[in-house]
Amino acid sequence: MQILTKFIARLQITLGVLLLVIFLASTLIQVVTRYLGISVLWTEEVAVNSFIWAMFLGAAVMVRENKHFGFDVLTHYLKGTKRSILVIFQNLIMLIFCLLCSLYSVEITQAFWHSRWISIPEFRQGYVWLIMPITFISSSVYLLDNIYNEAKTLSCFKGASWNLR
Amino acid sequence: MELAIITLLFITLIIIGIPIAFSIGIASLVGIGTMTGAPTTMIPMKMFYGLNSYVLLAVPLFVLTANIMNSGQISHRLINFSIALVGRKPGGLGHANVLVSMLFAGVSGSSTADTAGVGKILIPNMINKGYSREMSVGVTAASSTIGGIIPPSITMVIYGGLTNTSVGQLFIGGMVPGVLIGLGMMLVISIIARRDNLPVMEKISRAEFIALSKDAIPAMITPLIIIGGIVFGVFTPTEAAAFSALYAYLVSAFYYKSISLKDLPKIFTETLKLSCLSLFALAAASALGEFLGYYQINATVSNFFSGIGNNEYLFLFIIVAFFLFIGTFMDAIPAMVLFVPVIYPVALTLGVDPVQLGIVVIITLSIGLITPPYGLCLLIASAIGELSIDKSFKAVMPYISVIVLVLVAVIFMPFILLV
Repeated sequence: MQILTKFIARLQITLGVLLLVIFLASTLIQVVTRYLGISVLWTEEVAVNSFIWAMFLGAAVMVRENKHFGFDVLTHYLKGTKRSILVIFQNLIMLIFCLLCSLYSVEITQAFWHSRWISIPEFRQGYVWLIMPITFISSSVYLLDNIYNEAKTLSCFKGASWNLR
Repeated sequence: MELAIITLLFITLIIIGIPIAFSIGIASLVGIGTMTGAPTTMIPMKMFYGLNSYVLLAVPLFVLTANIMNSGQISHRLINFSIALVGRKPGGLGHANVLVSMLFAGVSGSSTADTAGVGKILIPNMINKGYSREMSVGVTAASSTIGGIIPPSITMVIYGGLTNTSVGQLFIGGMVPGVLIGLGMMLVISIIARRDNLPVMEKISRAEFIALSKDAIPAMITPLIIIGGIVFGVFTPTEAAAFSALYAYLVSAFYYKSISLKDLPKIFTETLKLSCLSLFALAAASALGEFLGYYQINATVSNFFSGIGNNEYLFLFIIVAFFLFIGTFMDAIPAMVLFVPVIYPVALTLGVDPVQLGIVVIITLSIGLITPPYGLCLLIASAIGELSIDKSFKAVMPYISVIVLVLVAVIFMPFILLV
């Protein structure tokens, strides 16, 4: 499981960085072409769509790394088993939210699938909306992994067949 | 009744440690579930539209500029230049500490990076030169708060994104208050220096000064590109951010020779990881906005202020008191994401200028960076200076009074915002 999540996270970060470069380049091209008097219409739409993809990809990886802004006084206050139970509970609640949003995201992506970009009509709007199910499904996988890893530390699961390695 | 349950659910989620973005999302999902006929697909849809804004691209681009500059050890160069410039005054290292924060604010806009970067060098240096631990920690932590006030400021871009206020005007609006806070802090240092007979730094030669200036000036041009570009209509804030990132790379790679192409993947990865956190919270807040609109929360808050006389000054003072309290245990960006959508429409109905409200909120939340229990700049500076939190807090108090004075000036004299 950990190998799989590590691979997905790496893929998402690499893609996110690539998209960050694309939206930086598009923004620079926009200014340069404007001052050269060349009309380039696609820069803003490419920049915004790459930005949306990059930020949601990064946000999913941050679920794995448990880095989202939060009020973690209680988590730091509790120790041992109590802390592990709290962490599992937190991840379970987030998992339910992510699973529901995965379903809704698939629905919304289907609804927008045939819409077209304004500046590049050859591109489907659905490709951009695809980031929503990708974000929530990958976040769900990361949360499952987090729950599994935390559960392994619980004394009641020590020695269980799935917890021998 | 439903609203009370959802509010209680939201508070419980925050307390048990569910990340703020997820707490907002879950509360909104439950809230939307209680509305008749509201589609549940609204949550991902609103989150998507929350980021579908060109101005928000400036957030990762400013973070990128700061990360590139920091990789080039910019703090060292700015510190040496600041000491050369104001070190000869009594309490010179204290003055240099404030000046470097003002310069650093124009380059990076990150208060915590300022405390960590400058504090690691200046706090031990100040202690060695005979400054008290309290003075060294206090001035380092307090002056870092200028980071979010002098442009470029990531909190201003987020506020602009939340309220559709011009980021360019917010940047211009932050300049005078930021400089006033810096000068006010320098005045406090002068008084302490006279009272405690604080040391001055050794004189440096003209050649040394020129060499230090040559080292620092290319970095200090960054805010000129950003502010000048926006003010003179050359760039939009997003384009200015992209050009400042390009400029930061060219200066670091070819002038300072401190980074190379192979450092870029790490810098870009850090930028992505850092900027997505605040933007994901902002995306979730867009879903919350829909829910708040349904329950007419804004109208309820508005009615509350009509009941106490529709006074814009009273409103702003209540906002200051509220964000001072919130800032003691919450970071600026999540606090804005949560509460600005509620107070903004009320401010408009009371006739408060959106830029004035933004600067008031941002300055107030910057105080939260140096107030316990969760004042990140205070925690970092006290750890570097090995000083207890209560002593550190006592040490920043004179500087907090400077920030509060400037805040009062922004409320009563909005013309200082230049907009």
